[in-house]
Amino acid sequence: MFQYLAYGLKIESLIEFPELFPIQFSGEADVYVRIGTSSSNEGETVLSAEKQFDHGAQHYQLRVNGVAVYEVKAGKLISIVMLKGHQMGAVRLYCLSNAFAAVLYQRGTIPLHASGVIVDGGVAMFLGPSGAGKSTLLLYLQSQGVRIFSDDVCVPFIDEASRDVLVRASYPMLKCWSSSMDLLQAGFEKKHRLQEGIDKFGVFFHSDFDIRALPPKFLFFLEKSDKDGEVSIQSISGVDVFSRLVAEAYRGHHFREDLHKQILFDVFTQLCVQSSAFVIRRPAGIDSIDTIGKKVIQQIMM
Amino acid sequence: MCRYIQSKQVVQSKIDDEVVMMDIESGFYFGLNSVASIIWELLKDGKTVDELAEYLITEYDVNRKQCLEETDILIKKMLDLKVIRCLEDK
Repeated sequence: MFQYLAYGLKIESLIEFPELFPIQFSGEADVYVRIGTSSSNEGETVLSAEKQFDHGAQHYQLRVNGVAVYEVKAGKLISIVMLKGHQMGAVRLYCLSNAFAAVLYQRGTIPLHASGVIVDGGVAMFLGPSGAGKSTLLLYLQSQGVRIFSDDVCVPFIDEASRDVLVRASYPMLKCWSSSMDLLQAGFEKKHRLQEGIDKFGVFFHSDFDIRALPPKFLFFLEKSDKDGEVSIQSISGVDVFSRLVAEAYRGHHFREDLHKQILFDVFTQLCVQSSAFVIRRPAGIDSIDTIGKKVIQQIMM
Repeated sequence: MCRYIQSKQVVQSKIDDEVVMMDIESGFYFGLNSVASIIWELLKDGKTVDELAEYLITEYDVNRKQCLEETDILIKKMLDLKVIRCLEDK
């Protein structure tokens, strides 16, 4: 049995997750990760190679061909039925992303597709779809001495005591393409390949992981532009920020119908109020990480 | 002439000088700029288009005709979105 902290939740798992932050606790876990078998109840599924996911407010199923079938119930239980030919790296990867996204939505939180660094006791978040450059930017900032908070997912929530929004990190690993690691020339080790056949690696930061929930300070929305030109950074405000946050709800297309709209509204409007927001536009296809990184550092250190 | 008032179904919050509103049932949301936000605030208590225009003319450098036209457009938009309703005919 393994015990971890992930997304601010206490996890008890039958599968070992080197990606997660190990902790020890007694009593109830928030989330249990179990291994189902094709003959157990958990293995019964409405899914097939054609229909790959199914969901309701408190029930979610995902089938990843050649990897596993995941079932998530009531924000508390993840059952995994591994499929023929699976590799454990891929099994864990989809569990940490899609299955945990389902857990978070079922528990009434709205995860954001955002990476983050720690700035003066708060969090600067970088938001954007896959390929926007969130992880590369994180690697760059880490190489400049900035402390990483979270990669790919941040979980904002309203603190009951203060009524302010705080943000939790996912887990202490960032996922980065091999080419991006080469680009930065910072000597990152490519030890933990995320999935066979994909040139993407995990970079652990367990020893520097901050498990506290921290207040948001900056929101940087990363955009690619088809036009040539320079990297630009522009301050934004008001409803524009809110709209952009809604678009960055993590795996939002899977869970749109089940979104807790009142929670989304309360958390995202408060996030807008508490943070300074910017759009960073960069020309696609041009290496601009150095310029972007310098602009971000300039902004967060002001 | 109709007296318009905010619909109860909508949650709202001020962000900077704008207001974002969301229909909690559908999840549909939209924003109002600073002037539209003032109109929205005035619609808390129920106002006619004339009363809204009267207030805006005293606050902004705008002529009556233009103000009435633009207020009317906004009111029609809000009615379409069902965020306001006609309280009574005056």
